[in-house]
Amino acid sequence: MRSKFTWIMTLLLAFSFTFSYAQEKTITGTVSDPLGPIPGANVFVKGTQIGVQTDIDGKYSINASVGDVLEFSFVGFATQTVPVGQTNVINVTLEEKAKVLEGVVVDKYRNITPVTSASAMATVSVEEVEDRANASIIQNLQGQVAGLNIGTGSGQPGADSTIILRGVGSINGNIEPLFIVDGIPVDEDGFRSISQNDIASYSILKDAAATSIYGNRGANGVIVITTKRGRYNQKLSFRYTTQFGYTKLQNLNMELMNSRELLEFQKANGVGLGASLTDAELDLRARQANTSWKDVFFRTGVTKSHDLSITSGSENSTNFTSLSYFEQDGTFLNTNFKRFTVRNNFAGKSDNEKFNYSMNLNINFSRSNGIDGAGSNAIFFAPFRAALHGLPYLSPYDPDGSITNDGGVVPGDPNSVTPNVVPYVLLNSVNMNTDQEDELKILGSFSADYNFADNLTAAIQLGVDYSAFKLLEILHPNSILGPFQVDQNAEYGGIQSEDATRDFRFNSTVSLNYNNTFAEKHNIDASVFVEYYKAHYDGISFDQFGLDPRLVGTGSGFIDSGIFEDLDDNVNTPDTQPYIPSIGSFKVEEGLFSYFANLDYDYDRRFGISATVRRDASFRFVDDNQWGTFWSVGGRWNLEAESFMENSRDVVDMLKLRASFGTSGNQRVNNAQYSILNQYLNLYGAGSGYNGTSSTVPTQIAYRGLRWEEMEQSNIGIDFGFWGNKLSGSIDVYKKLTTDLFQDTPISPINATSSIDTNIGAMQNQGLEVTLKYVVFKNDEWRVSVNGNTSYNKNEIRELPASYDGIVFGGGSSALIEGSQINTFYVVKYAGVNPSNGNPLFYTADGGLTETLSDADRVDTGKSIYPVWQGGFGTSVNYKGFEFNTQWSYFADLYRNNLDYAELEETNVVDDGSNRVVSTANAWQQPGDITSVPRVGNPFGAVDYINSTDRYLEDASFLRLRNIQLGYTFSDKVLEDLPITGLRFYVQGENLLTFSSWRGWDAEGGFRSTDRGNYPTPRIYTLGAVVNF
Amino acid sequence: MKKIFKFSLLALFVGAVSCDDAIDINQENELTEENAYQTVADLQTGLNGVYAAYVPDAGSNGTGDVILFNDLFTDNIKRGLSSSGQGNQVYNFILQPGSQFPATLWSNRYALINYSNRLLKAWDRIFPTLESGPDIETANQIKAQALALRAIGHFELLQYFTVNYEDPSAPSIILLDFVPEVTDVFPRNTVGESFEFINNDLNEAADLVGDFYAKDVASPFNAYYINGDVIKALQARVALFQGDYTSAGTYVDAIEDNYTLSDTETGTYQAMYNDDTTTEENIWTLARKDGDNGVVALFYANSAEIDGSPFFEASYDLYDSFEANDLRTSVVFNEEDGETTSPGDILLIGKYPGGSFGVQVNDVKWIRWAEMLLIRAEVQARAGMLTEAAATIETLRDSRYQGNAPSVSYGSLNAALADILLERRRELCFEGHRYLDLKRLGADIGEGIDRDDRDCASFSAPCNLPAGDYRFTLPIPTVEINANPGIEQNPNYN
Repeated sequence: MRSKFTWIMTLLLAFSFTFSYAQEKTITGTVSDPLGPIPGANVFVKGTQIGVQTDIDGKYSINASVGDVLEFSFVGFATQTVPVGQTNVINVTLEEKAKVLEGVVVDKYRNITPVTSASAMATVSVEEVEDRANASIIQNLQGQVAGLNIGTGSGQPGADSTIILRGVGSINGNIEPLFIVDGIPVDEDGFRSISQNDIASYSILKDAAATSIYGNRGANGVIVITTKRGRYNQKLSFRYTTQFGYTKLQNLNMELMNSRELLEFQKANGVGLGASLTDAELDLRARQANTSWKDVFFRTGVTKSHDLSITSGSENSTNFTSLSYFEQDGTFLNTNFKRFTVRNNFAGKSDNEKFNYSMNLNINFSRSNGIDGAGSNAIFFAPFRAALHGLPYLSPYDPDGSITNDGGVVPGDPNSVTPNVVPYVLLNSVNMNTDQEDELKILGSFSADYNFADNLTAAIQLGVDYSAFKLLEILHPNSILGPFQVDQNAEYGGIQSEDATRDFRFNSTVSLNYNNTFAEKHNIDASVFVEYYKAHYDGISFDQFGLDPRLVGTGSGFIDSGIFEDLDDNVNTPDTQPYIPSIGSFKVEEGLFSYFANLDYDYDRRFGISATVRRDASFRFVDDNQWGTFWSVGGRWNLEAESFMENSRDVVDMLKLRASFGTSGNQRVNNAQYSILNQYLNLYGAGSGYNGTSSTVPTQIAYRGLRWEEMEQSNIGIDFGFWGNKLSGSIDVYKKLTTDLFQDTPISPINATSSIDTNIGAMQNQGLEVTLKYVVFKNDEWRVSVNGNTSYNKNEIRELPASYDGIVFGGGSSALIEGSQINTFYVVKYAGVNPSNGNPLFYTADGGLTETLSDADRVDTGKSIYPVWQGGFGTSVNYKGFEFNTQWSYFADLYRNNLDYAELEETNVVDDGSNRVVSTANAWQQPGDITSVPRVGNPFGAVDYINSTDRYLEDASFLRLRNIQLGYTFSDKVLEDLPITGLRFYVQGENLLTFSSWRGWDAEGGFRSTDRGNYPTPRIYTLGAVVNF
Repeated sequence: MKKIFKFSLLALFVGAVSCDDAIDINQENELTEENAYQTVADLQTGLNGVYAAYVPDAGSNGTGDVILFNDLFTDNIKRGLSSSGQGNQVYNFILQPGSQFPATLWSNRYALINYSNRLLKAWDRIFPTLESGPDIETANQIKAQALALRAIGHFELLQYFTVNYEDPSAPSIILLDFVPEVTDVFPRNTVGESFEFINNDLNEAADLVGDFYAKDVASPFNAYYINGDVIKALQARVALFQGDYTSAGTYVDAIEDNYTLSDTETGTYQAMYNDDTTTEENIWTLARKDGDNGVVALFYANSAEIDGSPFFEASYDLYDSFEANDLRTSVVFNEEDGETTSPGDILLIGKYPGGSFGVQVNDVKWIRWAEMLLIRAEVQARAGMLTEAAATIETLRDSRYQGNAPSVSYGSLNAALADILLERRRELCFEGHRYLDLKRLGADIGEGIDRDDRDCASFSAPCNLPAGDYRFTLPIPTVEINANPGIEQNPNYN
């Protein structure tokens, strides 16, 4: 009752403020969401400071003139605008979650509405990615935001993605953005554990004005994720969602030989099985077995999920609780992912609203059964390679017709484990071995603020990101490779390795905020902050050699390390102990400390300036280098609020110019977490010394000059909305310059080493980003809209250490070259096959032809693994309860070495236990042959071509139908007699269509430089339902 | 008042978040110098590391430190049976600032010097705290060895990177008796300064070493550590290069009571190489044990036998340099496996046959009494005592030949020096001397590299390099120039 009285007072207050205006009338109405009225929603007359809040029943009353536009907003909901016409009653229903460029962007330190934001940022509302079937929430963002590159290089469900915002900003340091979940900075690699259905919004902060406040870790951009929460005075409601579906392998874009083709090819070249067969035998063998090994190793997997969320709110508290279970099979045998998560988001406030607090707690447990060996060159340990390369004339069946477990290969017999039987060995390993990763992830945050004096608010935020990993790998003693793992002559084989780590990251921020409005038009919002960050990482591990096959997987199966065996079968030599386990333990920590200030100034919602300055200290640096200072300024001009635009108000809803400039720092100068921990110290360690002694030797030479990598960024942008936001979007151009790059620098060998990593050199990224959204048609029944975004980014190395003469090349296929992109492919150009002798021809550096490969002939191709163009587009059609959405994404102008194809077309040797692509049969045979495949026995193998030439350097550009979804929402009428308030069904598919010239399974490679036997990402089809009650 | 209370509460709150534990972090696995070196025993482990950093036998697959380079660049090696081109550039006299050997030698010896200086720095901190007599004595002995190893590092660099040993004002090497900062670079010191520095280190080492590991004290004695005799032998080597022949002779004389030659007829010579036995001849032997780099890998991919993938073999020229009844050939060449007796053929290198710590591992017999006798012979010859010089050489040969060696007499200094150079080649082949001998002694008598035609043909390489060629001095390597562009390069390299 008391609270209701407050609302009435507010109402009266609103009247008193607006009374003086003439020609005005009073508009009344109710603001509600699909579940009921919203108390405390804001109602503004657009372009003015006139505003009221709704009362407890969601009702409002405001004075406005015909032609004014009313703006209705509430945290967590899309803002709606309604022009004032003849009617005096305007009821609105707000839709949950912000659309692009609308609503409130919540970053860690500030709440900013886009109208008053001077920053380049994008928001992805949850409805745009909701109900997707990827295990990792990050994968859903691909193609959604201009400038945001998300590359996933593995089809293992929940696999980590590489995320790059506005180009690669560091050579050796961290290149991924900072991730903030509900105010807590979290590990950028740990997103498989978070449930999609808990997310409320994603904000992507791009320019210096937005990221500078994150100074010590925001140099590569910031992605702010908020999770759902309840509202005050909200009825208890439930939301249950479920999905069921299948995962499938994508199409293979290459033509492999069948049994007959391969045997005939072998016979023609006098090698392999084919050469030993008569025509009749060959014919028989080809008919007996023609195995597509990919069909043996890959399968259709099942995916399913269940989520239940409960939301409620009382007068002074709100609650959101969710439980979810997710399970997805990989497309490869025995790979899968399971996850169970619990979340509770609680918030409360004092009666006078001066004190607010909230607590978010999220506990996730996931288990990932995977398989090692993607990209491996060890053919007996490379499962995905075996699925692609396996010989088709090997039968996958045992005589009884079942899929074989070993193909007749005898475990532990070195003579029977030959390259020809690789698929049998791998099939055996896949079926018998274990590779399991468990993650327990706990995200907890607490925040509180207290408005202790007029215009002054003090706040504190505490956050914890805790991840405990447990790795378990077992190589079964009875598997084909098991007996080799200890000693061939030992009685027991097999290895069990376990690895347990704990990663605890704590973050706290305390702040003081001052907010005031002077003379009605001048609004100042100023804050000072102190931030503390500390991370602890420790772990233990062991490898047990020798397992009892009857007790595999348990500690009871470990063979006693005290056992002596006569391994060399010689009674004269002493027996040895083959089962001694190896053990390890480590513990490291990291820390940061910062203080900073932020000032936002707004004049009449027409002009705004935002400035940040911060001082950051990192534990990695010492002396004068420990502290870095970073700053930014941003400005905006809201043209739509200007009087000269008055006549175009019908057309222009928003037209805002933005500009910003600023700096930020990167202290994670080496990409790996928990590395470069104490470069400023001379360190010693124990080693093996002279004459069989132990020794103390220097293990690290100190360099005290290490300091922050610094990135400065300028950005100019425009945000716009026309014709009632029918067309909206933004355009940005930017330039980022990273200086003091952490990289290898020569030092005199008098220091006992000839190079050390120091801060030297510069790199630049510049680009353009365009985001557009257009509502094509809209009436009561139909809504058709399209959206698209595209970005262009050019990366350039500006400066390398002087003594390298502009190029750092350390072997392999890429180099750092001044004036070119980072890790540009630096190879000899392939010219084709010499018709006279069948040898490959290469271009020399000056354009001549040669048959020999020499480093001197390498040239900068200007091609790199990172896309120059990237973007996405989508369509959305709603008709009554039906909705149909598509989301496409594309990468263009990026390259990757295709070692899989190179090996499948190799003619250096042809009897290597690997199948071939059909085109290999076109290999040069006699003088005059014009062909693209060099003669059998030509001097270069697949790896030579990959490392030194551009023969298999392929364009990995692609356009992919990332998601397609068809759904139907039942109307309230239908549900009237049912105990539920909402019901929706949908079907959807991921990755259904791909257009690419890439010759392989998956054009998407997670920004790898070389593809060899990798796990392709799957297609996923699911059927889902959402029930509200 | 209430406000003040609120503000102070806030201040307290902010202050409670201290920054020190976030940005001044000591990782628990940090072993700093202070913690690493606290006792004399710690210093001893440091010294074990300094010793281990001295690796004249390092290398494999065609690249290596001085033991490979001395013979490969000159005339003691030809292409091996299983060669796939290893060592081709060195054999072709291709020597550039970017070549492997100058960089390896420069880096390895400066690492040795750096390790030694780090140990000596810790020594300076710990020594004043020592109280017990035995501790002080042990500490002094440790310092003596560290100084000797630092002298060896500097001396070997001087030997290869100095054009003329007897021009005191010419540029030589960078001298370091301290631990530099990583950003420091230095110019080259002069030859005069360098010899003075090396001699000072060795003199101080001789003063401090006492009776450490003396032959009559250590039991068992296996010549693995630097004792007073080793320091004297090193001083003899240094004096010889400095042209101070009188001192060289004196240092040799000073240890003559402790050593005698091994003998091929009693088999002690063969045992020294084949079984890594310490004989009365061994002054300093580098111990190589389990897990150490195998010297055999310099010449063979796998093991010292015909099936062990020899990519280098001994040269015809070396084989032909031995006289018929010289029994050293049974050690220098692996006659059991190869076809050494019918040249045509395969001349497997036999000096490192592999040992009890692996088929690639042998001790390195680094200073022997035979070398001291060769120094003595040269000192005698240069002093005009040609008869005495001939007698010294004859003594050496008598211990190596079946029966007595032919009698020796010299008609001139040049004839004496030429014979001494020949004897040094036979006696010290594959032990890291040939290039330096041709550089120093060869230049004096106009003898350069003159390979047998069959040897140079095996690599399609030039057969001759005249005495005094600029390539008898190494170029300052690119690894140094990269960081230190102002350093003076040796003549004819750019």
